[in-house]
Amino acid sequence: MEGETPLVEIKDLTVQFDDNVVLANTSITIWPRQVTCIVGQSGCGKTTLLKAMLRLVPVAKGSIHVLGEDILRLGETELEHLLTRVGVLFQNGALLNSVSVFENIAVPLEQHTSLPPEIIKRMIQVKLGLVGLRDAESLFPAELSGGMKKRAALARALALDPEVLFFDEPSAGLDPVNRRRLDDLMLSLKDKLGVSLIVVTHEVESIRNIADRILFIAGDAIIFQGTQTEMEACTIPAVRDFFGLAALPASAGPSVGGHQ
Amino acid sequence: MAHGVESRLYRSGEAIVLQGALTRDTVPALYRALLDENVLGCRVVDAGRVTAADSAGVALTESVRLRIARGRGREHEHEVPVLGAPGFLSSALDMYAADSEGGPPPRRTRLLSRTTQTLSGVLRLVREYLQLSADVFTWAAVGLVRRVKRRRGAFVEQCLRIGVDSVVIIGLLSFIIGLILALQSAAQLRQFGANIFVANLLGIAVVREMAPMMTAILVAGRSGSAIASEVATMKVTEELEALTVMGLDPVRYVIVPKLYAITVVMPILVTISMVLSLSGGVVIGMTYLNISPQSFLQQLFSAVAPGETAIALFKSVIFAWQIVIVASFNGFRVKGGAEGVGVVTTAAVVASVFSVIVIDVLFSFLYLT
Repeated sequence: MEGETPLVEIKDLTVQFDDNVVLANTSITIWPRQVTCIVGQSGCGKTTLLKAMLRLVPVAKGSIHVLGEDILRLGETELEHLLTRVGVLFQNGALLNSVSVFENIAVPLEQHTSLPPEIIKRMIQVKLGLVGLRDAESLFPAELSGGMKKRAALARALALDPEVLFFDEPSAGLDPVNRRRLDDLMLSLKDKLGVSLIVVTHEVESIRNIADRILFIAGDAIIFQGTQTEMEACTIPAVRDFFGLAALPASAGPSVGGHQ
Repeated sequence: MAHGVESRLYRSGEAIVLQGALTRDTVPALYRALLDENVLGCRVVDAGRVTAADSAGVALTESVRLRIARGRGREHEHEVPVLGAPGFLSSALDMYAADSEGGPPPRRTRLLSRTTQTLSGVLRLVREYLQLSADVFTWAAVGLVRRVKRRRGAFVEQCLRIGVDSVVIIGLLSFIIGLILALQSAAQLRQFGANIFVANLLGIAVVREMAPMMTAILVAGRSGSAIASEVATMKVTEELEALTVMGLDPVRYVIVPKLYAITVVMPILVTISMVLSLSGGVVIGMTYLNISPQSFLQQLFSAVAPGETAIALFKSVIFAWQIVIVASFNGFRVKGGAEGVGVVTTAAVVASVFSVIVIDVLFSFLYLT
């Protein structure tokens, strides 16, 4: 990674809502072409961290660079341009319920490009084919199952060929089969399209399937950053407990508490 | 320009050549260069000089292949080879082709099949409408005998909403229309010294047509839209499914109380409309034509038979049923979310008003016979 521009670089980030500090002095670096899972128990601030990277929540202190841009200092136009380089899959899909799947995916293409309708139509078919929903383009979100909604939302997130995809709890509400299918799809996006993935999740099975790197949040801070192998050797009780790992003997393994 | 090579699309012999970066910034201009006459007689796509491609580039390549295939009378673009495609483009084309092979082949919509689809769609709508009507009347009849599985207080609540809340607007409009009708007809009749016949004209117009139809149109606008949006919202938010799984028929639980209420209040509203419209006529008679209220009413009763009033009230009940069924039918057909609710609500009002007028025409023939 030496010499490469980080995908996301956060320094001394503090996010608070009134007096409630959700993240305090958090610093992280996320590298491209990896699946980075932001992990932790419910309510620990995972989604807030993800939203901070997209400037969707107010930041009290710190700096956030995404794709080399300081997003907290960008003007509206520059931010809009930056957001065309990222895709986001929200927890419930956030599809526009009043229009069809096709029209949902057409929105970013029509708003941010001057592509002719035939090309837009083909691109939409391509994206739907990619997520396995080729026959669903005329359906409305209300007519889709939970897994199909997620995949349709993913097709929309992919519409502008983003360099990085953000996922907020992608497996939430899915059965194991659909969860595995979505995991496989995410991995194939990384491998085939070279997209970087930042995934907020607390699904241990998914994390084990897809994560190249894990960021573990507890309290209001990142208490662990590392690969799956490093996680196996980690001695932090909260991390071991979360992943269902047996407690290590006091003398065994390297101490990686507060690994940053 | 990217990677030092200009983005271009041009013909070279039997090949369409793609060159440079094929991205969403360059594709619009390249697409404009893709003319049917250019591809006529072409057999392949030469992508050897492509330096970069995103999914817009892949879509453009597929479009070029499709145009060539069609020019050669083929159905599938995948029968047209892409020569010399760099690794990133060929793997993207392979990936998308693999994904698209699972789907059905594109079908050409022909006029006949479209007409057949439209006709079968209309027939399906008619069948669904008749089914709903049958459901509503069946449950309404059952509800008269068995009062279970009905929301307590729903009838009174609906009477208040559909009836009492409409009285002021219907009364006011009826009075004003009575004034206008009397005034306009008086201006003509006075030329022939036939002032007194204003009562005949107004009586027949108001009792037979104006009062029932005007009331129905106002109720369709107020209550029809409310019913359609209520049912549509309940469907969108899965409340109707929730009722079903609780063992409650949505038609019986939601629609039938409205049917009962509108059946009771509509004739009352029409009666109020008649009285106030004719009152407008009496006021014009007194102030403009020097006709006393006694003479006006005497003339009115000689012109309008009691049977006509009964038919008008019966007609108003038919209008009322039509409004409820059309509104709920549209509500049940909702698709999508908030916007879908708006669409079916508008459709419900338009269809209600239209059907009320059509039924009124049928009743007009009944008066003639």
